[in-house]
Amino acid sequence: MQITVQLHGVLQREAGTAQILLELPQHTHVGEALSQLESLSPDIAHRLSLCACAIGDRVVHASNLLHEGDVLALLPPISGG
Amino acid sequence: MHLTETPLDLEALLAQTADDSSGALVVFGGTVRLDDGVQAIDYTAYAPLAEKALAAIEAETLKKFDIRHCCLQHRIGRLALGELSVLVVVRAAHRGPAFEAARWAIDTLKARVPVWKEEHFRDGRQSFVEGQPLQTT
Repeated sequence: MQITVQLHGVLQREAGTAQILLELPQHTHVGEALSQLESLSPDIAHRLSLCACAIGDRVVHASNLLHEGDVLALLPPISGG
Repeated sequence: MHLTETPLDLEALLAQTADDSSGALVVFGGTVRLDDGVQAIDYTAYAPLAEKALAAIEAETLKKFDIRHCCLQHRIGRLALGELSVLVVVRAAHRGPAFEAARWAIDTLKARVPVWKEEHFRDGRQSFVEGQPLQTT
């Protein structure tokens, strides 16, 4: 299945792109997808452990299952206000 | 909408929360300040979660404090020195709860709303503010 990883904040700057497409086996969890992303994107690998993840308006965690077409937003440490 | 790319409109928020039974009005406004040569800040957000979090913080503030109204609004896009990035408007019968609620709301916004600041400096540098991990609970 294919998902889109959407990069925000400093991740986008350091990866040089706003999104990354990942080909994953069925029944992949968010944590497994992040592990694959670490290998594919060494420029941002060191930041992933501090990122929150969301799909739509829901925060998701490492154990959440992914589905075909999901857009997984990676949210680095925030600085609003 | 709690996120906007247009200049924040305090008058609109005051009109929206106008209430003859409130004797206290507290407004907090965050502005872009001159710091180490910063001349502008780009604010970006993950809108689906930011909108949801801002609405939730308004509701929680209303429940947590003895207040009558709480409105939060955050601007995104490029802001110059002095421009407002965020507004918190609280109305209550009395000033004590109004001050406490406004403080709690902005502190909670900074912990739970996915917004990022990238600073642009006079010498041409640009740098994201380090920030804190998004609080999700």
